[in-house]
Amino acid sequence: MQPLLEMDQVSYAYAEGIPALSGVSLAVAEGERVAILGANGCGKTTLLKLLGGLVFAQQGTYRAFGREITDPLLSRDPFGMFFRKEIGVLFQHVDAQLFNPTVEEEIAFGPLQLGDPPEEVRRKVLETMELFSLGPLAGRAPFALSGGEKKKVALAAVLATDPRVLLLDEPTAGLDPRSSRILVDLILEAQARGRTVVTSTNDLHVVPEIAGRVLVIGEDRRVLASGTPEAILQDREVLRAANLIHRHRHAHQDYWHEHEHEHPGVFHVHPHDPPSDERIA
Amino acid sequence: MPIPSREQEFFEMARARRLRPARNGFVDKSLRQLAAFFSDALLREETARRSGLLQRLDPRARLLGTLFFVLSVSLARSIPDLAAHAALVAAVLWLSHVRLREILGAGLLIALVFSTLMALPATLNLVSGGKPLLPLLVRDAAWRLGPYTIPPIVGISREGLLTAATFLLRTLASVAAVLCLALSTPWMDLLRALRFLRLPPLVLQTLGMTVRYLHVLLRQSEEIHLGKKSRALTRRPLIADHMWVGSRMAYAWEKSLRLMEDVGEAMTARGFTGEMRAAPGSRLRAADWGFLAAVAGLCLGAHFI
Repeated sequence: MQPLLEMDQVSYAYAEGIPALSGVSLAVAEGERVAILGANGCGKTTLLKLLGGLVFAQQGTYRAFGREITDPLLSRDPFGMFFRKEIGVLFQHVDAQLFNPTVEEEIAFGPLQLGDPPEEVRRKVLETMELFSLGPLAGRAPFALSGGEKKKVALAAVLATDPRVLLLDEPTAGLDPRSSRILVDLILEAQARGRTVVTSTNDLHVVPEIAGRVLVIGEDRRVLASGTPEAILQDREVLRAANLIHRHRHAHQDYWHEHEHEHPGVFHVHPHDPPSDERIA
Repeated sequence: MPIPSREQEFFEMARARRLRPARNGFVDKSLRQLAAFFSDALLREETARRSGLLQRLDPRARLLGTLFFVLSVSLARSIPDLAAHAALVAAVLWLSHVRLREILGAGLLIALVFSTLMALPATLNLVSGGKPLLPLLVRDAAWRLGPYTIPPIVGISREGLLTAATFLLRTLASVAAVLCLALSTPWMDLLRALRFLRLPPLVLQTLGMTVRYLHVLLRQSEEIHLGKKSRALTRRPLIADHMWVGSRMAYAWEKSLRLMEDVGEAMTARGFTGEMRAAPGSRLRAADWGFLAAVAGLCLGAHFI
C-alpha cells in the first residue's frame, strides 16, 4: 500500500546557506504514529515544515496523498486546498498560529474558510470547545492566554477542519507537567480517532505513549536510526550520539556516582550502586 | 457503486461552494521578498567565511585599507590612474574568492546601470565640449534654446568619453571596494571595527543591537507568515488579507516594544548604567600592517602612472 506521506532524499538549507536537513527519507502510512527525535537544531522543525508543505526542499522529492508536493501545486491547484485541510500543523511557538481576536473565532477560522454554513460552523466550534474544555476561554484573546492554554487553542483550531494528518512540533515543550499531560491525552484522543500523527520531540518519556515508530535525527541533520520506541530508547549509543541523553556525574557522601541522564521535566529517580561507583579520595 | 474517497468528496464540496485555492498573493510575496532582502543585506556570511585574502585579515585593517583606497580613488584624475585602482580592487576581489556574480548581485550591477545612465549625458560635446566623434544631431547652423546655444553638430566627443569613463571608473572602483569589504566582513565585525575610528560606542552598540533584533523580528515574521499559510485553506477576499496584515503589524509592534523592555531590563541587570564600555581591541598583526602598506604603496604608485 502506498505511503500517505513519502520523502525521498530530501535536503533543505536556509537562505543564508545554513544546512537544515540532509538526504532524509521517510515514509508514513495511513494511521501511523511516528515520533521524530533529535536534539535542538537537528532539523525536526524543518522536517515538519517540509511535511506540511510550508517550505519546499531544494533536493529530493516529497509526495503526499499520491501527488508530488510543490509550491505551484499547493498555491494554484485545487489539490492545495485539500492538502491544507487534510494536514494540520501545530507549531512549537503557537503564537504564530493564533491571529484571531477571540478563542471562539480562532476555532471558527478553518470551518469558515471551507464555506461551512453558519449553523455547521457553530456546531463544530461548540463541539471542539467542549472536547478541549475551552468553554470558559471562548471570548478571551488568544495572545492573553497562558502557554498551555495557547497550545490547546491552537490544537483545537487545527482539529476543527478534521485533518487526516497531524504534524506536531514539540507539543509539550515549555509546558508544566499537568499541561503537558493534558496535551498528550488530547494527542492520544486524536490518534484513537484514526489520525496519522507525526510528532517531533526531545521529550523521551512521552515517546512510547504517542508513537509506534521512532525516527532519530542526528546533529549532522541526517537520519541516525529508525525503529520501535522500545528498540530506540534502549539503544543508549544512538541516544547519546543524537545528544538526547548525556552522562551525568554527582557526588554522594564518599563516592562519585555516574549515570546516563535525560531531562524530560519530571522528577528523576535512578539507582545507586556504591561498590561500582568511584570513591572520593 | 464505489464509495467516493475523501479527496473526491472534498473536491465535490469545494466545487459546490465555489472554493478557490489560496494563491501566493501579494502578502506572501512581499513578506518573502522582505525576508530575503534583509537576509541577503544583513546576514550574508557565506562569503565572509571563505579563506580569502581579506577574510584572513583583521576587520580594522580591511576597513582602513578600504577607506584609504576610496580616498585615493577620489583623488585620481587620469584614466591610467583610475584603471590601476580598478585593477587593484579586482585583484583583491579575486584573492578574496568573491565571485563576479556575488558582487554584481550585492549592488555593483545597480551601481553600473545607474552610473552609466548618469554618465551618458557627459559623453556629448554639449556637456563636455570637444569635436564630435559620433554625430547624433546635425543642423545647418547653431541654434538657441532659451539661454543656451546648441552647436550645429551634437554628438559623442572624445572629451565626453573621457569624462564619462573617469566618472564610471571612479564610481565603480569605490563601490566595488566597499562591497568587497561588506562581503568579506560579518556585520558585527564591521561595527566593532568602526570603534577604531572613534565613533561613539553607544551609536555602534545601538546599531549592532538593531541588526541583531531585526534578525529576531524577521524570524518571527516568517513564523507568523508560515502560521497563516498553514491555516489558509482557501482564497480569502483581499480586504481580509489586508486586515490580517494590519493585525500582524500591530502584534509585531507590541512584541518589539516588549522585547525592547526585556532587553533594557536585562542590560540593567548586568550592570549597564548608560555608558557603553567596550573591551580594548588586540593589536594589528604583521599581515594586517603588510596589507595596509601594500594598499598604500599601490594606490600612491598608481598616481604616478
